[in-house]
Amino acid sequence: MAHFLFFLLAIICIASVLGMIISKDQAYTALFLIVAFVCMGGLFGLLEAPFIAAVQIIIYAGAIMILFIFVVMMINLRKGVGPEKKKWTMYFAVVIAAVLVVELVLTLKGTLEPISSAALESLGSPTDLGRLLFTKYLYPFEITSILIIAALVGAIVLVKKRDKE
Amino acid sequence: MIPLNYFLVLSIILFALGAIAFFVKRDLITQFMAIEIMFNAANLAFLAFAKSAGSLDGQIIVFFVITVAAAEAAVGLAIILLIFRQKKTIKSEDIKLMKG
Amino acid sequence: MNTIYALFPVLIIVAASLLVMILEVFLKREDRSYLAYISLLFLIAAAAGCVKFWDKGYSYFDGNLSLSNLSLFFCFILIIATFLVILISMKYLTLQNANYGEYYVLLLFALSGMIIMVSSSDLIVIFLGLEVLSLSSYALAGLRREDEKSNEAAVKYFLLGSFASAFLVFGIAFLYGATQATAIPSIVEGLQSGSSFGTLGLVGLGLVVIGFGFKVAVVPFHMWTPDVYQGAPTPITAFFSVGPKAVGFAVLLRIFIPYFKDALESQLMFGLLWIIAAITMIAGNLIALRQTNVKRILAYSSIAHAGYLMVAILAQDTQSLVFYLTAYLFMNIGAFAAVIALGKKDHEYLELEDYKGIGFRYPWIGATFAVFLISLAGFPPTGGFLAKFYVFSAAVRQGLVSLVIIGVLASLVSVFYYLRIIIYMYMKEPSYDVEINIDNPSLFLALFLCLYGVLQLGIFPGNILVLISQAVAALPF
Repeated sequence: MAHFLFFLLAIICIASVLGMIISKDQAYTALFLIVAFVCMGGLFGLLEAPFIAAVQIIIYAGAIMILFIFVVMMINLRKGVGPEKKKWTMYFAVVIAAVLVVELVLTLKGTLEPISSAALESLGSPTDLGRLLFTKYLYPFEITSILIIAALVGAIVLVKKRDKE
Repeated sequence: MIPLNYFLVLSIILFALGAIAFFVKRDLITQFMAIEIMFNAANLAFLAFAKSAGSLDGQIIVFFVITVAAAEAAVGLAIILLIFRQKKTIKSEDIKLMKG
Repeated sequence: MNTIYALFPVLIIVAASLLVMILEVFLKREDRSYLAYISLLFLIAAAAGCVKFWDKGYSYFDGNLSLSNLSLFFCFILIIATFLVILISMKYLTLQNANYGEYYVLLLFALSGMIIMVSSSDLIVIFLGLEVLSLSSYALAGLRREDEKSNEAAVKYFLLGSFASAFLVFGIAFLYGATQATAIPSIVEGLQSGSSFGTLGLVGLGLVVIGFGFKVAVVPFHMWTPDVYQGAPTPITAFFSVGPKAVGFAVLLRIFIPYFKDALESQLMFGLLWIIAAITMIAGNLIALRQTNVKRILAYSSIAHAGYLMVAILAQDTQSLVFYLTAYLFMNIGAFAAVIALGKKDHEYLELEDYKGIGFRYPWIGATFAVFLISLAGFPPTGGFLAKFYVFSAAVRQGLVSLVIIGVLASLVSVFYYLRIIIYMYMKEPSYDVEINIDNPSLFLALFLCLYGVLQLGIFPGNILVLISQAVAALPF
């Protein structure tokens, strides 16, 4: 069952990313991406990270993609922009990527077996995550507050209406 | 039990597809979406490794990566809007004032 | 010692940016220079903190934040860099129509990100600090909103910057998978113990190098550099050419100097970085020859300097690397300050043609610019000469003779384009008048400080070298 679910989600995920590459319309691109992100959420669930899975769907597929769609609609190009027409860039990209994949997959050979599945019982429960977030990872957590305010200031200063001279 | 290598292979494939999309697509928004896919592939890898290590650390890191992605989306889309207001286009081949 | 005081440098910078952000609302447009003074004041306080914490070894958050002497030294030079950048931008902002209070806010946020990066050895913290730096930088690059070049710089920097971040995160994921750790010392230990995860870790390390390679602009990850440097507001270009490069190398140093200790295990990475260093020095200097825009020349020159810094990493000599970064800070910000000095309302003189006869028309600017260029080219008696000398002699001691030969030849090539600017300034007749706004005291202060720094490092480097050796003594960090 788990295998079936994994392959189903993986295939939908890859297919929708491919769809994103092929499609010309930006609205479709964004929708394909949402599908990919939702599948990714499912995969996170399979990895016993239910809370992250929920966060993924709420923040990625929800908030971030809404932002994308807003911008797509604001810009509202009449006809979209297709993939690169120049043949060589296409081949180049594909070859590079193929090499990357083969190389990386080779590195995985024989590594990584789950160490003990018994220890994973309580993995990913919000309580444990929260506790860890506010103890061991308190410093990175505080840094994200700086990150977000910097992003806010940056975004606002770039697009706000210019005040009169 | 699904072998964790399956997840890693999937994450590598997605990362590579994201990189392809970044080079192949010609409008800024889609290129940015491609980067989001790459971030997601990294998240998948983190979770797979977290499971193999039997620790929660990897899951926490994913939180931070998602936060970073959200913050980048805000700034990035602001920049893309800025470009669009100036040039009325978001094709990446129109971004070529500077050469040399 | 585990104490909350360790947070002081970061907190004071963040506090400064929040304060500036609030005050900006209440200040009239013409009073915005007060924001700069406030920022400068806070920077002085932060620098004083760094001095005060010297040798104390404060840390907090279980060592996630640790102010070792080396971190403090890096914090200190980054604060100086930001200080100088604020000085050179005060007048520029009004002249070039970019007088946003947010300018200082973002600059200070970027600084806080850099301080976070250099004062931690945990890759997650470093990544988040890098993102604070990058997000502020993207916005800063596009701050001249009416200028199309500035917008293009922002979008290019943003796209390639986040592309690089994705590589960095993926690399961190692999390193985490291989060693079950995100702290650099444990990662290096895990990689050296040579478990079955060896290849996985190696690939992770490679991805991290790609990620940081983009940030410090080494060939072949440099394509964004010239365009972004050209399009961004000039003081920000000065900031980009120094800040992100310094922190990038600070992180590479933390990773690779302990990693290279085990020569057998690290052979492959060593070879990779060797190639990167060599082609960076060659390509950076050769392409610079063809440029006619002064900002682009300085951009390629900064790429080439990243190559020399890479040599210092390969030579595993922290001391010369830190000295080089310090000297590079003063000469590069100084050079950009001189470029900014040649500007008037709504116009900057950036083409080589504009520099004809500047040396006689504006003798002070011309002379200081010439000194910075000489220093960048690496002639005595300037800091640039000693910095290069230390790096190359450390490399020779490590047996990297062929790399040093490439480096010396490449810097000979670089002499051509640096001298070309000087020749234009002193030996060509101007074909048209260059009017500049001379009423710019803060910029001249910055020019003077940089000049002092370059000459001090070149003639009496003793004190600084003692400080740096104290900073390095505490290795491994």
